[in-house]
Amino acid sequence: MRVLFVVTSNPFSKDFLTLKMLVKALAPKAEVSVFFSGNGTYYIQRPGLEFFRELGVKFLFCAHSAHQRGILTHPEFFESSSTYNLSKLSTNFDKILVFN
Amino acid sequence: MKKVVFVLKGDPFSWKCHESLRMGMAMGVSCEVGFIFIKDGVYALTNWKADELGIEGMDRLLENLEHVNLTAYVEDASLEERGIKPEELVIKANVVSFEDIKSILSRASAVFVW
Repeated sequence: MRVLFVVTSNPFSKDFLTLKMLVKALAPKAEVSVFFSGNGTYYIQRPGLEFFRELGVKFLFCAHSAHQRGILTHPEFFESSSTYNLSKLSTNFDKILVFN
Repeated sequence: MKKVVFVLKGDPFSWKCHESLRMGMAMGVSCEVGFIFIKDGVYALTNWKADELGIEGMDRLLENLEHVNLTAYVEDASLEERGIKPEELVIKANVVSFEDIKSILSRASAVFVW
């Protein structure tokens, strides 16, 4: 199964822990990707994301939103993407959950 | 084609309103998007004079609606509660009941709530 989370809430909101628990439960039996847009792009600057990397979660972010927020550099495990790409990506996933 | 639904319930003064329409239109490039304006979200389709407030409005986005696969819906009760007539809206949107909205949502494979 392929699951996509779309996160637009900031990384210090309640959604961070919810996302952590969901990914921990899903990662062993599903391919999990997370797309950050809006205020979700601040995850790029958040420490403590090793947990997700160790579980093999794929991180993508909307370059437009990041640029709007002055985020110009990103760790190598974040892949620069776009909302247009999200549109194409979404057809490949079985489930899409949104944290907003 | 994947059916995706956006539900906008927040007022247009929040960045989320602009971001939701931007994301909905981008999704409309390769998905079938239903964009539902409900509660205070209906104000986004009125002439709320963003330029007088010095903030970015929705005009440029709304002008390009016809170029993407996005259908706009407005909840009738939300309009009525706010004294807005369908003909006052800045775009031609489908005025629907809450029952219609339920069936639109049930047909969607992903729902983005803003």
